[in-house]
Amino acid sequence: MTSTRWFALIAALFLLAFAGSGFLYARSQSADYDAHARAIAAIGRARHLDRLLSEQVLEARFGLLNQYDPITSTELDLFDEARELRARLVEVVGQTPELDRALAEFDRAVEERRSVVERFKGENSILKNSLRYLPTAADESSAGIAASAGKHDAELARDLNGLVRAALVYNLIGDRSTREVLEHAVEKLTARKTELGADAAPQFELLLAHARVIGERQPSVDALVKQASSDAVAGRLLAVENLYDARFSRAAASADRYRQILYVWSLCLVIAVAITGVLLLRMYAGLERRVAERTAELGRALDALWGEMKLARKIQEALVPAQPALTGCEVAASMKPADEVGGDYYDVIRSDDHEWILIGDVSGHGVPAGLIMMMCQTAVRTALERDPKMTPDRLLVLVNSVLTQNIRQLGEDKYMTISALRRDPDGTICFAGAHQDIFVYRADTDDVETFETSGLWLGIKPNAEGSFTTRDLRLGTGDVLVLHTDGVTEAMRDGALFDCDGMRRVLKAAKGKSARQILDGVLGALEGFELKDDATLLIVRQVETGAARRTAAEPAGVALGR
Amino acid sequence: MLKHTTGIRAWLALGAASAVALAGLAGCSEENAQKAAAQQGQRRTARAATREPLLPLPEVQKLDAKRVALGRRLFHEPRLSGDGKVACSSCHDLANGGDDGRPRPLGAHGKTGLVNAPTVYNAALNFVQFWDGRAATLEDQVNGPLNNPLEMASSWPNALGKLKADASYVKDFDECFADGLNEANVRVAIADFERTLITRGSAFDRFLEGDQNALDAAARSGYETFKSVGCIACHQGSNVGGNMFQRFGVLGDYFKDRGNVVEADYGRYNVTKNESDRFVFRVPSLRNVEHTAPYFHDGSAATLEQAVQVMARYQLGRKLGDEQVHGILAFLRSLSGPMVGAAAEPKP
Repeated sequence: MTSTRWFALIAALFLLAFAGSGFLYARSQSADYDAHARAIAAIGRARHLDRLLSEQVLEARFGLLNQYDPITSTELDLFDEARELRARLVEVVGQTPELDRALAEFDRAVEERRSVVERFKGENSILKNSLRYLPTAADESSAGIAASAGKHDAELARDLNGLVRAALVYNLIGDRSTREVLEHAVEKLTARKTELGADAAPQFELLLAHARVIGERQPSVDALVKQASSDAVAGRLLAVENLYDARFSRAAASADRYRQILYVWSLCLVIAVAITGVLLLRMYAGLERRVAERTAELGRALDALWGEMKLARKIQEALVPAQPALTGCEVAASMKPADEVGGDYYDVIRSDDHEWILIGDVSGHGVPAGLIMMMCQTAVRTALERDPKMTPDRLLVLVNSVLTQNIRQLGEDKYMTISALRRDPDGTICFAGAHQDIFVYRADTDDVETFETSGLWLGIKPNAEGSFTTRDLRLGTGDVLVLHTDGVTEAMRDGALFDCDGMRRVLKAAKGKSARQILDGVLGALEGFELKDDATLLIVRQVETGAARRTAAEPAGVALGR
Repeated sequence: MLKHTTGIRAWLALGAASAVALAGLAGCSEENAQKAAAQQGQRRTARAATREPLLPLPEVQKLDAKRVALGRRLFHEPRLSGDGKVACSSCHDLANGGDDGRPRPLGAHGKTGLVNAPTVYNAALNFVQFWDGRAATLEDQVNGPLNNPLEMASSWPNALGKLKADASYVKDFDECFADGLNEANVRVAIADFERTLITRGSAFDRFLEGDQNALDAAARSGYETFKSVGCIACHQGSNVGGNMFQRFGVLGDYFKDRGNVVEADYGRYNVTKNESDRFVFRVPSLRNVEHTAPYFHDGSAATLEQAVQVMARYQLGRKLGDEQVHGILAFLRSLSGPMVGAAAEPKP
């Protein structure tokens, strides 16, 4: 898989991992503990109000509370709290049928208790009034009876007191025996009603009515108190609380589980991140290695490429004559290659009595130029082998026709400048070819003579018949013949060319110098110049005039130069 | 290459750090669980500070002034009735004790209501509204007269339609309520206005608060009589009544003696259908009672003296002497406070 695909896969996995984390986190927070605390507080408040109401009812029954505002207030608070309770519980555990049922039962219990309390208030007020009034009523009755009867009836007084006492005791104790005492007292006094006068009767009736009220209301009030302070509401509230707790515990446990899973998940993510990191590092190390390998390959390829350059150089060096020598002359030669092999060529050939000097420059560079140089040399040597006496122009025509054909076959668009010089036994030099101008230093005038060359470049057209003209020149003793390629004259320094003037300047000071010295002089003058092309120099200094005889031994003053 | 390796290391560090951070976040919820958000006793039930069975009137709770003004305007608004002539203030006259001085109120289209109109003053302190206690809150009470064909003879669509046609009402409601002019908000506005109708500053309240000279001798002895005779058993609390139900006719059959029993006389029975609730009514408040004649649900007692005698006979089973009645009346008169609702002019 490509590295892009890898990265895409890893990115997708990470997104998935974080989405998973997000989901787990959300679920682990699903148990809302804040809302739970509020719900618990609401339950607590409801419980408190329920107990408070029971307390207040008891207080009212036993005279510790003599007005009902607190009870009303608590009832209203409890009603509001029941509503709030529903909202708080549902907020945490949501609405379920069981919770709904339990809350509805709680609401009903609260409502039932409320109506009980309302009845209690009414009954309690009546009972209290009667209890409070009974002693007064008894006194008033007693006074009234005494007034109307005109005498004090001790037994009646006793019975009246007995009634009051029985009623009060019954109110306090409220059991069957005290009730019987009260009923008995009422009966007794009722029986005495007939004895009373018309004046006292209403008062007496009232007393008995209040005593009966106490007898009737006491049990009902106590029953109402018992009912109102029972734990019916508390029981329902507890049922609601238990249900809520169970549900919340489940939700909390579930949230806990999710949280634990989230911990493990996060741990796995951390490990996954670490592993991914290690993999990435390895991948980068691998990449670095590959780059190094490729670089090495490139190096080798480059070497191979440069190898070609070496080959070209080799060809060039192979073609250049090892020790050029001419009879009766000092010969000094040097070829300075440019960075890329430029295609310079020169040769010195001895054939029969004739000596040939050739100098040329193949266009282009590298191996193709080298091959063409080689072809040229072969063609020249072959031609001269057969006919050493041929004229330079003839030679060039011949070489051209061979070269042009071969150049075409190479597929190269190359050409070659070349000059060929033939030195005859009597010392005459004839030359042809359109290479660079030939300079000759004349010893007698101490001046430089320039022979302009003309003709055609080789490789342009297959048949160069009539394109070359042979000319001659003669060298006297001490004269110097200088052949060069354009690498010398086109050398540049600070934007200025070395040019023919540069050459001539050096040659003008050639008096008395050997060929080697003159060569060194030109090379010295070229110091600091940048070579654009191969720079070749061939210096020939005539030391002897007269017939040039080939001797078996070494010619005089052979100078070698490279 | 070195530069790239450093970049990778940085990303690794970031990835590891974020994974650890996530794990840490998950752990935070544990701490939240421990944090208890307990609400500190927001509801405190009133406990009586003194042993007196009567308490002075409490201060009016803080209410939004704009809403109260809007409620006042609605209270005086006759367009809330079917014939456009009857407003709340028609039967609950704020200048005259908060009721209408009639045995039964005169409703829209010349109809007569079924029960005597209770006073709107201090009605906010009653634990339920109406003689039979069928409305739990002042807001609920508004529905009664509005829909009653014998009282305002209207309906909510009708009333709201007329209110919405008045741009000033729409504007006022939009200013006072988030959801503007609707039934619930009309009721809230009227109720909030009624909550301001507390007649603080009566002579008796000043007496309770410590001013011994606030009551004359008659009123003071009348208060004692009121307690000893037993009126206090039901007419107690800060509103001198209004916080419990009681049967009309405890020690005597009032309705049998009065005769001509109608459904309105059944009282609480009409709401609970409980036989034990027959002839049971909300105990009325005695504050400003000298201004709210005639008395009882049937308006049968034209004077306070008559009312006191009827109560004494049928609730206490007693006949009171003249001096006792005189004292009680003096005491009852000391329960009157200023007619606070009559002060401001309603907006047209």
